[in-house]
Amino acid sequence: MKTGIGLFVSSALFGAAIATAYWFSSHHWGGTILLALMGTGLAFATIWAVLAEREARLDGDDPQMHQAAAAGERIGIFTTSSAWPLPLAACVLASLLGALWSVPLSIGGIVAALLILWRLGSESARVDPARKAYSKRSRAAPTE
Amino acid sequence: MPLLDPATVQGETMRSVWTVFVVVSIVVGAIVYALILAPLLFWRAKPGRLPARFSRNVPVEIVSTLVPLAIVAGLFYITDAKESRVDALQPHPFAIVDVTAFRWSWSFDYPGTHVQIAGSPREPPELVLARGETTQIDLRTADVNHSFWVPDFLYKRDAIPGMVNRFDFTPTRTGVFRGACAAFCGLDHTLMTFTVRVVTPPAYRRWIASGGVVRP
Amino acid sequence: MIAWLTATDHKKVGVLYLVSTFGFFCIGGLLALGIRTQLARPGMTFVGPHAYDQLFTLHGTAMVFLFVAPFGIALGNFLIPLQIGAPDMAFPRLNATSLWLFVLGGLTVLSGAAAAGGAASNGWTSYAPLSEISIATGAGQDLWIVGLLMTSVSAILTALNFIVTIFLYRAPGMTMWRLPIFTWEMLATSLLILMAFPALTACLSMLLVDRRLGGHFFDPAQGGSAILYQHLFWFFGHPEVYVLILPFFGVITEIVAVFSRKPVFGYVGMVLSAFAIAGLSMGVWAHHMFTTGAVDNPFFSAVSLLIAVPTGLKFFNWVGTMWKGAIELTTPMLFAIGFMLNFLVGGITGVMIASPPIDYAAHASYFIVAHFHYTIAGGSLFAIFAALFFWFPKIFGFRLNERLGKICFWTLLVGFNVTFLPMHFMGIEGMPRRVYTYPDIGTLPLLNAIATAGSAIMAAGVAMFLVNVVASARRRIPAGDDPWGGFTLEWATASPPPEFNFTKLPPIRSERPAFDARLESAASGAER
Repeated sequence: MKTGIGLFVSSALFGAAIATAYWFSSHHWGGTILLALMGTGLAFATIWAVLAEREARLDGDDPQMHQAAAAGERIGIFTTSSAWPLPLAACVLASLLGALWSVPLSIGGIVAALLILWRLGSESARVDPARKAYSKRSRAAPTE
Repeated sequence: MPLLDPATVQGETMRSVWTVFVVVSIVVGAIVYALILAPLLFWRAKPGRLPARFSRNVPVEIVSTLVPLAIVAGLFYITDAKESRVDALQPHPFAIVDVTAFRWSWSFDYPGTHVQIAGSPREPPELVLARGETTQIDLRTADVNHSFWVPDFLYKRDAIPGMVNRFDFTPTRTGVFRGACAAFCGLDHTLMTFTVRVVTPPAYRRWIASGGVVRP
Repeated sequence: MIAWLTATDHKKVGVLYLVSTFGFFCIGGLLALGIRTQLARPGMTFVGPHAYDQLFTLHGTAMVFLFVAPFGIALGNFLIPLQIGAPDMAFPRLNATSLWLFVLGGLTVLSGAAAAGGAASNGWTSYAPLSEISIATGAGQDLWIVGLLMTSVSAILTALNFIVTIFLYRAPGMTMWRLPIFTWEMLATSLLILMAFPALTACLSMLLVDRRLGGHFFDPAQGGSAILYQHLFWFFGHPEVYVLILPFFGVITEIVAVFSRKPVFGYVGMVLSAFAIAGLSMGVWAHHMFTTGAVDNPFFSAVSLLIAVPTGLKFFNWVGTMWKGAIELTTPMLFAIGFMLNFLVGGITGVMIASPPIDYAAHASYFIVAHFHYTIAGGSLFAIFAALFFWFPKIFGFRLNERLGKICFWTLLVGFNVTFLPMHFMGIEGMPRRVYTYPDIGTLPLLNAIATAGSAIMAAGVAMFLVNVVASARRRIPAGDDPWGGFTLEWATASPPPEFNFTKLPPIRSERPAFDARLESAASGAER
């Protein structure tokens, strides 16, 4: 994770530097704001990464870690199929097209999308116990 | 080939930049082509031959960063010096022409005279300039984005709603040159052409005096 | 069928991306043939002006938004979890949602062809005010906006997924500095997508508000700004150009190393240059606007020229990788070398047009068309074929025919250069892009005739690839786990990989774990 943080920090600093350089070179508001927004976004990513780093003990960051350490449920449970992604995408399309030509279609699309997100949530709940066990164990990893 | 013989003073300045970049490009390109193709000639897999095992060489990597850096720094220096000459406006131009782009033709107005020329897609208009004199173009658009391009002058400039773009031409020889709209502007973009006729200053004055009626 | 529609496994999602992007590529290619037919001779009337405008608009949109960029995402989907030793992407269902957003978005853009007034016809950039409702009255433009909004959201979600996967789901021992270069390049691409695509989403949303909800964002007469569209579009658009190429720098790096039988030369330099390119590419957007007279030309010229430095370093590192290797000219390696030779031309003309005095002549002419086709078609497309030949056995479990592959390579190399080399000279002669015909002056008719002939040769090359796929699928010669002697983890599992990718992972102690494992088993075999 250290490398990831380094990546975000240097990108954010680069964003700040280029926004500053651009302002002094051009005095152009639009571009400066866009570049500053980019730098701000990266700064948020940095903060997130720093906070996440406190919690994480990633097997991938240990150069000497053995494969057996990451066997089984420890790496988490991954869904292999779900009925919802395609309908969800179709709802997004319907709500966008509806915004142009038919308000009921748009509202229908949004409502259906919310329903699907709710179903996705309950699908996750079935997987969640394993996920929780995984994150607990990985946090406890150093003491094992 | 417009590149070999640009027809304005500004065009000659830009041509000098082209020359530098083309020469550098060919030299650098030839070297890199040789570097890519040489290993294919010398180090093909053969039974019994083992590949080398090195995976870095810090001095080589530093040099292969610094050399391109020096090249582009030089190229930028030339670019910057020449661009300011091309973009510079003469304070007291010989003439000013108001060029207005519209879908899909051009109008050329010579303020302070009675000359107003408007074209149509089927009858492209003609812009008249005096040889050896600097004419300033004030470029506007009546509707969408267009771009005023004379290939023989090696120059184009966009016409953008809400903006006026100003630039100078100083033609170096008489003749008729093709011009076109270079920014896609809809159905008849292709037909949005014009011509530029460069004439001697006396012929230019006669033409202006006649209100643009007499053929220059 | 149902299994594919509900799949969330990254390999199946990857295959669906591959198939759909390749389908969009074939459509875009046919549109290009239409363009070249119309331009074969001056004054042709193969299609009318309005149909021609739709042809080049859909061709550009399909190739940029629906083929090259999502093809990188297709490869990333299939390869990233395999290369880092993960069982899947971090968010499999989000991943599948991205896929369907992309597919439905692409189909929406193309569906404009059936709308009254035809498909969008204002170029892949669709500058306002040309694309405003007062001028572009048809529904095709709206469908174009809606479709691209979907694909841009899809790309943002995928980028998030890639970043989280690479940061958090690496196998034990797969530290960041052991990641394969392809994965690194995808990480840089993902960051770039996160920075740049929101500008596209904003730009398209504003255009939609202008068109359908009475907004005036881009109308100066009502206090809007026409130039703002160009700023927003290119703030996305130029990083997008690097989204179109960075993944393929990774592809070429992997292939060159494997077929030179050497580790990647200058691994650290390769990683740093990827991020240098990504960073600098955020500061060059207005080099598409040098001729507007409204931007700070020297700033953008300087930053654009600077990008040549990290890109040049990549070239030198590829040469360093081949240097004193044991080079095998397999089909993927041939395509990789073709990539370098073509991309170099595009890179060099890119340095030229980074200079405003040169761009004043070249901008919006066929010189530009030649330049970006040398980078995207001669570059990315050749890398795409390299990747297809290289990873096809891993993805589908059987090999493609090598002899047919080599013929395909030479056909495409000749066809590509015959098509696009003359376009440099058309531009200098004064032919603007996006015109449906040209005057019978000078060398223009000859150059155009050559280019059209070249496009037919290219089409034959692509057809040969499809024939190769069908013929090889009939024979089904099993690929085995590792047909090429690969270096990275995807070659340490079965072809195609099983569900959750690995039944057993080798120890990861360098950036070439599959190579190390092979060496170890050879050594232990010799001891016995």
